[in-house]
Amino acid sequence: MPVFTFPLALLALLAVPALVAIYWLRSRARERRVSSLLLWREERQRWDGGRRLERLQTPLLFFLELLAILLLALAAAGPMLRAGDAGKPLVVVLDDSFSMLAGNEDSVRQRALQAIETELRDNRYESIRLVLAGEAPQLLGEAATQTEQALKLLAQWHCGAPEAKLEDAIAFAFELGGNRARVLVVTDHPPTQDLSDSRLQWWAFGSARQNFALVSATRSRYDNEDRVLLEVANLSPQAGTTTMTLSVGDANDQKRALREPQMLALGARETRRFTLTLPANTSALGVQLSDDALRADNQVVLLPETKPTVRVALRVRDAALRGLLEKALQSLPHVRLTPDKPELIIADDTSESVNAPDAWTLQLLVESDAASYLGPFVLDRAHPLSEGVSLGGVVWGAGKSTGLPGTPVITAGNIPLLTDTDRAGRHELRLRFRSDLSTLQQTPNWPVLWWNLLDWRASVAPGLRQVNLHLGGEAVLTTETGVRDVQVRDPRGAERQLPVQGNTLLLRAELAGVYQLRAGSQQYAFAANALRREESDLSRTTSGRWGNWATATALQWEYRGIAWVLLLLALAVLAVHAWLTARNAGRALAKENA
Amino acid sequence: MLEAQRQFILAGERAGQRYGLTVPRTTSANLSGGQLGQRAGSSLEFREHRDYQPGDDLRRIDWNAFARSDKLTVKLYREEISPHVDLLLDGSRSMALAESAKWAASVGLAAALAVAADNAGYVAQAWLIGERCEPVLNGSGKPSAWGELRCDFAGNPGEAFTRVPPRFRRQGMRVLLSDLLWLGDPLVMVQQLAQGASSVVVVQVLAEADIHPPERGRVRLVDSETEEQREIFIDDAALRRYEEALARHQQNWQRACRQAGAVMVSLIAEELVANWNLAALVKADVLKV
Repeated sequence: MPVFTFPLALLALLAVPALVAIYWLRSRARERRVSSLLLWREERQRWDGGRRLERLQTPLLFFLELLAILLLALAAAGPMLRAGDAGKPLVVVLDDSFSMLAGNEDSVRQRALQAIETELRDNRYESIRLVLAGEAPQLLGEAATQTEQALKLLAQWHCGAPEAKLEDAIAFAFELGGNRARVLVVTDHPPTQDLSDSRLQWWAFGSARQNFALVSATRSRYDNEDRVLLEVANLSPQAGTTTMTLSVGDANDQKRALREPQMLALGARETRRFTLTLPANTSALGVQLSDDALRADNQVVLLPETKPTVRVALRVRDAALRGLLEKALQSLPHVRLTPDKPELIIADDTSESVNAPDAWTLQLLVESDAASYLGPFVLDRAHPLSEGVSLGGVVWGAGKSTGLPGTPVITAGNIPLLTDTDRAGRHELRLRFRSDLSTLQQTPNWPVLWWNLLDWRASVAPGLRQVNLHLGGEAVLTTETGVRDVQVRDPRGAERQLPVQGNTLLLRAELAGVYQLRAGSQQYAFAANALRREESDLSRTTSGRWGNWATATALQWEYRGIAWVLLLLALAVLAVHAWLTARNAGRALAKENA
Repeated sequence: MLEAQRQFILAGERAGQRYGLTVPRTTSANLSGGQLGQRAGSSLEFREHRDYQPGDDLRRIDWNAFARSDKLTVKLYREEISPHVDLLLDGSRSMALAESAKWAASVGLAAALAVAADNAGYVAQAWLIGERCEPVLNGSGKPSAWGELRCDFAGNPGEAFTRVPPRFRRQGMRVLLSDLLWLGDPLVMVQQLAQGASSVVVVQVLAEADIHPPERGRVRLVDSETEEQREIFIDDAALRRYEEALARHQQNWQRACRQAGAVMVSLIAEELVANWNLAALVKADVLKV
């Protein structure tokens, strides 16, 4: 049934009886008696002579006028008709977190796929869009107009995200589909609150299961050995046992057990922590729990850290200052003081030539005309060197001039103390410092400052920033100059080539396992582990359907105005009316002339 | 009804007193009667000789002259016509058209002609054409003594007349008073009327509404004789077509009258009853002052 926006406009239908009255009065004939109809034989009788033409003519005009009035009155009332079923777009929000793989062969994802296929085959939609709900919503392919197209796109739904931000994905889906869209959320847990939008349906296919999971795993270098921290959790309300197996060896090596499999008996919701120490240069450490409802969180791989060492050339003549620098630098990891092929040159004499074209330089300016500054210190917090630096209460001795090349990083009022000049990726730093007038070297800011410098320099050195990532994390690879692309092999063995931009490659770890990278002649590897306690906790997952598209609130979005259609029809009717009138007038004139 | 008829007759009588019926020049030949006509005929009064022409009555050949001159001549005598007039009044319903003076004019005109005939020494007999053509009660007497004249015939007067022809007095004058608005061949009617008559006069009495049809617009016309109805839209074109049809109808009657040697005169009833001016009949040599 149509809905009228302006029902009062239907009063215009009163024109219909007026039209009928006009026609009735106009068509009523006066009676006249004549001597004979003999002389009127030539006149065409209205209802008799030419019956077919005359009977159709006037009533057709009447009905056309009647139809035009009806159409115009209805159009003025602003009718709205419910859009057909085929006119609604569908956006399916897919929970892309790895908890959807729970159940293994009969996984939540598999059941959800079957339900989606049934829905798509049983109903017709104008278009079907798929949105992956991971850490950020992601559109899966283009809009599909056919069910088969949509099912083909669904094959790319892998459920590898460490979490699913469904609220963001739902908001994205509504923006994507518009007001008429229906949104279907497919996940493994119930909605956290009542569905406020009746265009939304929420389907869950999970079921509460017992699950043991590795929820934390780190490996860090410490004093020529690697320390490993592992956390195993029983995320169910019942106690249970699992077996933990440790092995070493990467994909290319033969894996060997590090120790005998260890039986773990964990109480309800208990988390147990394990630490172990590995010799330096031990290859990949594999940790494996016995199979349970969710396999993705039963395995981690921890690769040895391969943070590059920065070669530093220290060319400082001032003995006191040199002593301070050496002490600070030697306290930092991944630093090697060497004059050979330096990557960073720290000098207080700028006259000495620099042979290394890629080396960064830090020029120490020890000026005689100097003063001690108590502040106010202004720091460029966006600069890598200022991270963690706090100069409150610090006395900084430096020259008095306000002019210093480069972009200020730290100033004392208008006196620049530390500046940075970027030479196409090679940085020239200038530090004004008089140790005899300063207390900076006696505060934590001194080693922090040098840590920042060395870490910054190391971050742009070729290699991976981090080798052990959480699933969904972003690996940052710095390549050598001249490398344009990187060959990537993911944990499933699929290879692809990715372009490098500005010596840097950013790669999101969408699958758990070890990624192999080849950049020019160098090879790198990093591991992504599904370590997310919330996702591994299957005790709150359930099945059910929430929301109903057929509610009245939902239908209001599916009404479309049809006034324009009625207006077009009215115009067409009036055009036919005008044509018929003109034709009749022409025929009458022709007859008269004849 | 009788009172109204009496008023019409009295008006006609008054109008007819000034006139005398005359013999039209177009009277049929070879008829004899008690009144001398303008043309040669069969009376005893010799008129002249003329050469024989094929078709002449052999009995009129002057054989003596043939013996003398060996040339065929015929003797012409004055025509002798009977001083009798039959007044035929159309009794169909159309003559009593509502809101018209057609019946009043026709009855009055019949009375006037009867009086004019009497003035000329004629004996008049009134007839009424209805289901059949029958003499009016006391139709040979004074018009004021005529019986009731009814115009309620719903049929075709021409068919009624030709179906059962009345027995008119031979060589008399016959006058038809009608609106002539019926379907049929006028020649059949006129020839039937002229058969055995010394002269025939057809007087068409039309109402103003017959000449100028009703107002324009959507009109349902009702035939006053058959009650047949016809709904039409009258506009200028329709009026023009009607007038053309009326003209053609009148021309058909005039042509038939010429062929049968009859005289046709058309009168408008409303004008006639307004002043009873019979000049049109005088002009047609039907009446003389």
